[in-house]
Amino acid sequence: MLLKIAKTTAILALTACTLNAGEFNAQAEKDRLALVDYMEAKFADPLKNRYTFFPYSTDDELKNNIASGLKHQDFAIGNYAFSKQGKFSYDEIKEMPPYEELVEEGEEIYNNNAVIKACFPDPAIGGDYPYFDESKKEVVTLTSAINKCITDAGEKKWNEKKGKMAILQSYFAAASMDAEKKVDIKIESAEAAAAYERGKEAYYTQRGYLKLSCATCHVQGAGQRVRNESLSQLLGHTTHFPVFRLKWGKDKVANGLGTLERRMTGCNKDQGENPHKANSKWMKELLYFMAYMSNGMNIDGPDIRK
Amino acid sequence: MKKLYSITIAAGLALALAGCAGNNASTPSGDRDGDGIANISDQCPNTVLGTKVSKDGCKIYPTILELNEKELCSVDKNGIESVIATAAKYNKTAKAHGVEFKRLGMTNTQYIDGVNKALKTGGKMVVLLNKKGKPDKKLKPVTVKYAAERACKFAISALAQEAEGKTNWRLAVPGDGYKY
Amino acid sequence: MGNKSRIKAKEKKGVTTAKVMAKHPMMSYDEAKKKGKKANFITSMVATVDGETVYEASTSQFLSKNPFVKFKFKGSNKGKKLVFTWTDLSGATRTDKKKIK
Repeated sequence: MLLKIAKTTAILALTACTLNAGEFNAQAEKDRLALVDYMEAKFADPLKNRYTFFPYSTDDELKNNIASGLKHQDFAIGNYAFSKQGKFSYDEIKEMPPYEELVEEGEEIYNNNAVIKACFPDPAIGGDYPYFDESKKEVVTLTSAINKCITDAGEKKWNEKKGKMAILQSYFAAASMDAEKKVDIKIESAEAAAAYERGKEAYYTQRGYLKLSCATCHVQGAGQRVRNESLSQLLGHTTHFPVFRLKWGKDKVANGLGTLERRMTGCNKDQGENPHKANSKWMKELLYFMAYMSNGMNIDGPDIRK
Repeated sequence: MKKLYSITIAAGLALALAGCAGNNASTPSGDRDGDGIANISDQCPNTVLGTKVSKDGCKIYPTILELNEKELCSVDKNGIESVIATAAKYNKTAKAHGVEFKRLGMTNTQYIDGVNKALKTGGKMVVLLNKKGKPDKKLKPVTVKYAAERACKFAISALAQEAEGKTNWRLAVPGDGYKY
Repeated sequence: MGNKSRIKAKEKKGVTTAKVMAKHPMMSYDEAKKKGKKANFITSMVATVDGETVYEASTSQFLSKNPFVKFKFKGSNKGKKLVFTWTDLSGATRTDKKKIK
């Protein structure tokens, strides 16, 4: 009798254990919510909290240019969220954004490419990438998934940063935005959690000749300036990719769109480090971490940035 | 006999419950020895608390952080061949770790190659290349001495930074160490 | 893609708001000299609906590449086509049409 009770209790305890251990994203959620809190706290009242968050900003900036009272979803538009001057220009360009024709081109590529259509029957998949492939135990980014799709069919892989890859992704992003998708990155195993942690470490580690970590500029530095550029915040960073940068599209509009990989390798160079390869494990795990940080935010891609 | 059996079951139960006490200590993403490396990646899971560890959770014998960069990279003190050899040695590791520096279009490897080329041909200057690998039109060539010292410092700094970063990166993470 | 003008026109409560981006390098005399090319820029833009002019502008090298213009006009024009024509210094001209939503 006692034995029977003990046996069933043991089984119950073990099942409870496995159910509880499904919370592999607990630390990630903690990080994400803490980031939201930090950003909201930072921009709640910049003038009042200047010594905590904006030690180098001038009176003029704090009074006239930096917005206050920002909340979670507001942060998706990068530094236009808080920079009033920037927002003005941004709104103007959004009347007739240069990426629109590229999205149309992306749709054409999709409709005329049976291979891609077969791999991605639903184009509204912007919010699902990167994901952790449990069978291969590695992070898969949208770029690597597209390249795998076409190389499996015997074609040559596409440049990971711009051109066709970015143009096709812009169509996926626009379709996701139209379908009102949100960023929804999952961490469902210990290995996925470890990959997330490595991406997080990559983000917060100081690197390069200039000894800057990504966070130096985009977490602690968000809202502050580097010369004349307002630094954007990590929160909402990946919601609007592929991004159309005016700088990239200066000479040829088609080159204006860039994938996440294109921007991050650029950041590496700015830090003074020899950039990591676009399809390296380092890059994929970094993007996995970054995307998770924007979970719950609306996909609003593609978008314009300076 | 029966009593022993039920005690063993109870003990087993207690262990099972302790083992799965949520996302801390003994779970794969927890950190049992408190060294900053998640259990799943920790090759040395019983590190003494407070020890500086590397990416795989094992004690870093503080060789890189103890190096006297100024001494080692001085051409006047060690001669240019020694300095560039030091640079090459450490840069090899830096490259393997993915932390090689790149400054104004030149990777550290390119600095080292430039110096070696000059030493072979007896040249006195190293031409700086732009991002396309062609001589940079705006930046003037630098002396071989400058390039060698720079290459050496870049190589050592990259590794020293990496080692230092391992122990304190979490301090910047809201939710995992950052205070404001 | 080419150099088709991108047109957006929407009518609301009897007023149509039109946004047009013309595709043109708009090379000013200074720029042309620097690049060793011939100067060429849009000199006039005209928009019509049912043959009636709703917008007209004489322009010059002061507009930058791919000039964007926004204008409004009254009348019930939903479903009609907005016809946009530009002419440049070299005499070339381009016309594009778009239905008013």
